[in-house]
Amino acid sequence: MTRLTDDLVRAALRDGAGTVDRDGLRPLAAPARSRRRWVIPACAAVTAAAAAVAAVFAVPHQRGEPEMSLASYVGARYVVDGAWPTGGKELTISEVSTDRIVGRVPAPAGSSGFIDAAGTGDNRTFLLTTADARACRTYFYRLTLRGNGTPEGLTALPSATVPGRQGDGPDQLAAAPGGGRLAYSTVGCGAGKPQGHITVVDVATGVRHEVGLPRGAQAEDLRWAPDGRRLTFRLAADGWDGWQMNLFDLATGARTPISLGPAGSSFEIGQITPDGGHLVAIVSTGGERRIVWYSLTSLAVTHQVSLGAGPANVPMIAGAGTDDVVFAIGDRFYRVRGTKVESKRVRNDGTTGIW
Amino acid sequence: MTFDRSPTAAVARDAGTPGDGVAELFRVHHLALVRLALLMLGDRAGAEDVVQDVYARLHRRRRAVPDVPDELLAYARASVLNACRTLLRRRALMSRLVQAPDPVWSAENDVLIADDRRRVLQALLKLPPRQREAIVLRYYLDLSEAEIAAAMGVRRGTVKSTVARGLNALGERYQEER
Repeated sequence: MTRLTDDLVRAALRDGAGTVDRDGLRPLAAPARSRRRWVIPACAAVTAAAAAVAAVFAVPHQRGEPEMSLASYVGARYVVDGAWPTGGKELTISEVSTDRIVGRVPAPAGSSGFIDAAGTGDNRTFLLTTADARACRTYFYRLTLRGNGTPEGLTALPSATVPGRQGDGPDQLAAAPGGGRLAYSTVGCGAGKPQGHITVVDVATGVRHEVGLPRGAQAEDLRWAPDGRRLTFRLAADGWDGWQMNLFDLATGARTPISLGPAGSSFEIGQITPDGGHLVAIVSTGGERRIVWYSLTSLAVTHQVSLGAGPANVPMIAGAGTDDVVFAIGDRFYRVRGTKVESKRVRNDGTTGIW
Repeated sequence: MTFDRSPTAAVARDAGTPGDGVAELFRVHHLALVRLALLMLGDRAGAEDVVQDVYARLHRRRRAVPDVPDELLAYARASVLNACRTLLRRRALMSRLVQAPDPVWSAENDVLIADDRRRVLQALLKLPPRQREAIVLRYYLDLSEAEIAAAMGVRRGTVKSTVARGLNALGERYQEER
């Protein structure tokens, strides 16, 4: 057999890439730009292990108004955008109601650019990260906005520096309400199989706590409970059969895996309700999705509402309003208040940035 | 390396928007990005889906992406690799339930590739994603260590060791493919 040489590797890659050519290339679809009218969604089939109500409403979109976005749906006034895994050189601050940029924040000179960003709940204070790949360190900053959305200050938080680089997946950084505490998911910088870590840091004192993760596991979708004490996230590792939802309690230091459905179920995102009593999550079983309420007191699913069938891997984004939990699945938003679910179809491109 | 310059319908329309570097980038580099994703994933449909998804995401955030074409291309490459990584991870998680698509260059597909090269490609798909990325960026795109580090989000020293480990592993898998 031919010996593996650099030339053979190059030739093989060239041939492999050449199996797709311009003639057979599927044209790129234009991103959705058109304004859409609100529509009344099809009657959602509602199943309930206990009592649950799905309330559906329709509001016509007014011509000339800014398009509806997830940020406006949760009541945010400003959106901060521009933190990227490879380092954004500048953040933009946009006013949600007008879609107008009201401020720009350049990344600190000599830094990697902004890697991650998270809101602290007041829509005026944000935590940001930059990274030093050579030193394998992540650095944190606090951005504050004035009442009109313009940047007031960017403050380095040297006591919050953590080792490691940004982990894979969405929502690697979570700021507790008020911004006094953060949680960051990282992986090691070596060439071996990356091991995930979650570091919880008290921003004022620099006191930190490492969340013990199973060997080979990495975390994503980090979200603080309103009490700033409990943290939810999901874990995955090679060889695992799906995602594993977890709850970390800073007071006890305990990490607890959570089961949200029968065998074969997978959950896709979760967030603790404003009253702190339940974890609300999207769970898929056999292609059917449902919102489940998992009681943090009884440690069992107490309610669930069917969302109907859907593909297994549709991206989802969650955001929290002041008194509710909001999910986005494709171009449909779901607002959860208590055990009530409201649903609305919106444009599909209003889900970037943080608030 | 040269990039294909075939325009596609959507980006050709969008490219008329002043300052829309994202549309222009995809007008010029669409095929090259699909080929990059193809080498990472092995299947064409997945590769095209990944690039479509990255295009849509970058287009939504076009006000915040780099406006220097080289930086934007580097960012698009990194985004494609990141999306491939996510898809591979999901496929690994779903592997007990869903059969992953056959690679486009597998013996079952009617693609003319010399046998030894086909074995290299089969071996490539057995490498961990990070090693696969390093090999593809180094030997297909001929990127420098600094460019590979930027695309993978790792240190330059890590690039060197990852490429070396990847080549060793590729050689072992290649021998197993005989």
